[in-house]
Amino acid sequence: MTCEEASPLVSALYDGEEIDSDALQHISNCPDCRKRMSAYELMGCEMRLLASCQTARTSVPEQLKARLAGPRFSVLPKLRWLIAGTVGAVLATVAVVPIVRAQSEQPKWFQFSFGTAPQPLASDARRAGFDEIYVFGGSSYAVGAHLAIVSIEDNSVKLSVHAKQYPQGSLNSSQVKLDLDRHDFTYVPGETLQIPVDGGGTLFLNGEIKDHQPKFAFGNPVEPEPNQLVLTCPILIQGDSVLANMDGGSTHIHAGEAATIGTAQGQGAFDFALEPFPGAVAARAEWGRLKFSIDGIEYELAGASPLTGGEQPRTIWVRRDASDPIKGWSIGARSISDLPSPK
Amino acid sequence: MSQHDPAAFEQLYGEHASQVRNFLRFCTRDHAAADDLMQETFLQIWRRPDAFDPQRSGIRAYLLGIARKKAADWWRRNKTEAAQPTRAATIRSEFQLEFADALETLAPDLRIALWLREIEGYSYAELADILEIPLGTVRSRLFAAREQLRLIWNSQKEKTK
Repeated sequence: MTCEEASPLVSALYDGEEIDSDALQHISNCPDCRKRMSAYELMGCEMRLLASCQTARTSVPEQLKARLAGPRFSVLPKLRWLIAGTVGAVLATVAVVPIVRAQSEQPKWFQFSFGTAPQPLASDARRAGFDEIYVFGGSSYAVGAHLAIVSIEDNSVKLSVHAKQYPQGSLNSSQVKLDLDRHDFTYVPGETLQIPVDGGGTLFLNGEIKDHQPKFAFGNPVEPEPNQLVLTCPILIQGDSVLANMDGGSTHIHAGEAATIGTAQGQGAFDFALEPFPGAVAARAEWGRLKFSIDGIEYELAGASPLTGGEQPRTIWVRRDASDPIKGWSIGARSISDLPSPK
Repeated sequence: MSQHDPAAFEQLYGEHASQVRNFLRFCTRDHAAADDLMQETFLQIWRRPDAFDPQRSGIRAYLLGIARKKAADWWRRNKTEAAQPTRAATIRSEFQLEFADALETLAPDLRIALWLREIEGYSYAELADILEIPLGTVRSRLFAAREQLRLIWNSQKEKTK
């Protein structure tokens, strides 16, 4: 073995890594290689001396404290929101729920539906520390809500919520103010919590406490009827790209409604329905899988439970609305008659 | 931290901030930028504590991994500007000054790998995780860093003789 061959291994040997015996023997007996290793040792020593020159500070600077103390999730406006520009047209009974990943590691989970209607249309499963802006559509107004799960006890969940009515028209989560005073609520499973909305209206919340991460979303049927379409923790794929992965998020719809999935790839929104609607193409649903092609591009949607009931495979209808301003993974439901017209 | 506990954050900061700052200063050679990036690094773990997987790496390695990415972004944003080296205020000798100068001539990737190995003492496997490169690349990168540094430093010492 030559010095040239052995030299890359001098560095590894200096670091205490195993090298092959031939290289070890060469380095042991070669003055040049040993000199190289001595140089590395000296450089390491100099680096540590240099590092020790740096000053240390161990307390959190005030500037950082201020950033922590501000709206805890001031990052939220950059996150997900749904149905901007279409909110005013969406029926009061339809909610679209933005989804973000859980942000804490509490052992308990709260699986809940939250919306302008008592019955669950879209649901979520989160842990304590979750904090999110929701936007709901109303027939004549929109509601923005800031909801945080403060703690999850054995038999109750402490929530902090502020909901406010906004004029009809476009509304997205970044327009919902994070600094509103929120009100504390204690939710007891089995009840329906009614949360008053500033300016009028009510939000409804139902849920269950789980000691494990729920596998199926609250309020959604595991075995749907033929007149139901259920998207349970769906994942939407185009080729090798995951356009949306709604782990923990689900929705279900009936005739006349569309389930909507927002993507994070700038692909806009995908609407799914049991019947044809403007701009939609036929898709082949078979238990938990749905395959479809739009503009020559193949897509596949996979759910964690059968998508719909009845004889399989069967046809459902899909539309991609690239102009929908959705940014980020999200899932929800809305009335077909209130779907925006694609631009 | 997982419950956004300020006391836990304070402790985390106290234990790791100086090392993260030193690393970022070393990466960016800009004290002001390093301080900004350090804030961003700690804010990230405050906002997304569950992104840290203790089974995958230690908390220091995780923080340095975030810091490295933020430094890399900073380098990309500032690559057209001439970086003004800012050395530790208390470099003790001409010998150290020469070494610091030699170190600053290394490419950021090489300097960062070398720092994480020599100062933080991470294993090759840990470096592969932090730097997001294959194990073999860790070995070759460290060798390249050391060889370049050795040659540059020797050359500088020759000049000053």
